[in-house]
Amino acid sequence: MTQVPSPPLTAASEFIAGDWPRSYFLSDPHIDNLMSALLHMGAEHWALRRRMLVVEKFLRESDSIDGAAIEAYTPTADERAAWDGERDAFIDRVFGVLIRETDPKAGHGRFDPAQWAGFARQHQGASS
Amino acid sequence: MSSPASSIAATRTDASVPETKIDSAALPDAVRDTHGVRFPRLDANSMQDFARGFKIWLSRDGQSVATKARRTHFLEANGLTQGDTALDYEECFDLTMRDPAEAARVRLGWSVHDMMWARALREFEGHRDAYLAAMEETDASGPGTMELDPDLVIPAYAAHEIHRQPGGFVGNEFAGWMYHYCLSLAHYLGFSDHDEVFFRVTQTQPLPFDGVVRRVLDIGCGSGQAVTAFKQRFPQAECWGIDVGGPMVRYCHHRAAKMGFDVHFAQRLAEDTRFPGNHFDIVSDYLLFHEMDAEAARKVIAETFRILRPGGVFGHLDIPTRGHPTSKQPDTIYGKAMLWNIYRHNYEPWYLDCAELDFPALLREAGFELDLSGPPVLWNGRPRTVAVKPA
Repeated sequence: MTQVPSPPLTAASEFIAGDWPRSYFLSDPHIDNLMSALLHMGAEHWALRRRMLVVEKFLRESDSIDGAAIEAYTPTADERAAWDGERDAFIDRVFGVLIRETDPKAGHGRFDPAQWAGFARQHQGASS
Repeated sequence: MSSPASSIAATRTDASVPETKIDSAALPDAVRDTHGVRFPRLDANSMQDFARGFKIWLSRDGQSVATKARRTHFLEANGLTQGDTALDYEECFDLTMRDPAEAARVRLGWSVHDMMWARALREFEGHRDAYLAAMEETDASGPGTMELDPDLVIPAYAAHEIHRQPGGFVGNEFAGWMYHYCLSLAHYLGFSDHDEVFFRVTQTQPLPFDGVVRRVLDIGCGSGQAVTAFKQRFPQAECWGIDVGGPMVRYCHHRAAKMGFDVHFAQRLAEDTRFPGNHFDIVSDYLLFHEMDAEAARKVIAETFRILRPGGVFGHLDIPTRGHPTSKQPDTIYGKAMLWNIYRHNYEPWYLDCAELDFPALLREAGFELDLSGPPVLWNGRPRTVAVKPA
């Protein structure tokens, strides 16, 4: 008899999603997005710089650094394919925010607990 | 114990209350190494390092002479002064957002905050099989125990994406991992790289009058760091943590078991703990009550009173509320704007309601005797409210 594997344990449950991903603070959401893209660019740059510091430290310690070879290096075909993927993911991480969905009503007004009143009951129904 | 009043005085005297910030360099190597977190991959750590640096930079800029001068000039240009507090919180925030520099500061603050969560989630989701396997390994192993309740009815107040954390405390499998890693690596800005905040919170927790500590409970235990810190202060005590979030509890147990702590975690509500009456010597909360509505807060206080034994001590540490002698609500336009920013944009739906509660009065109504004279516990100057169940 075929045994049906038990589903993996999950401890997560339903939640009430916020409107924060669609809010903006400046006069036009695109200005918000440009600032966020700039921030992500800074983060990517710092991560790369930090990695370089680590790599340079190990290369110095192993006495194997060769500056000329680094300057002259051309990636192999496999490396090129992999690096293209890295490049595309990098662009998405930095600039993906420019095309996020925004809503001029998001992030304004007091929270209205009445709109969440049915949550516990709905959740109870879903789990029973 | 002769009287509740004398028990409170003795409670404070008995407490070990270090006056200085804990220096992580002074912690024993084993403790420091055990309590620090690091992502397995360098880039993930570098992203959190950037977020920390950017948050520090924003904070310093917000306190700079130039920023203060610009704010004053902006208000003057609008015919206002900082003390014009007839405006409500939202009006103050909307006014300050008319200054593009201020709006840019708020934008960048939330952008780096969102990046902090998103990059951590990318790490956990990107290697989900490994992280799930790590938790499965400890789900049924000790030391310590874990209890999840898949049938627990999650109250609406707790189901939000609090702090803009994707999925909040309940909705993402890696909520506990995200909460612990992001707060330690980025959000605490270096104050708690190795659980220093939690050592501080637990080491300054006043004791019952008779000094007997057999059972300790942390309600709303988050990532479980206070529970393991309590266990180090009270090695012989049975230490518990409860939280509404199943993913939080699962991570708490995983972390504690990997660290070798014999402590206990359960997915339960602080207003319905399911513990016997008169059971605990100490109940503690750190930043719990501002994440629940007033009705739940009253129920949690009543439940805490029920499960504390006579002479037991409730240590409460949260945002400033009415009724505490050192609490001060914002009385400037930028102060009120900042509070609205926290409430509305850090997704803390109950923050303003909590600030308006007379928390000491609620504790007294429940039967507690209070000591409100304690010194500041953390760097932000917040004192602990000490509530004793009369013997």
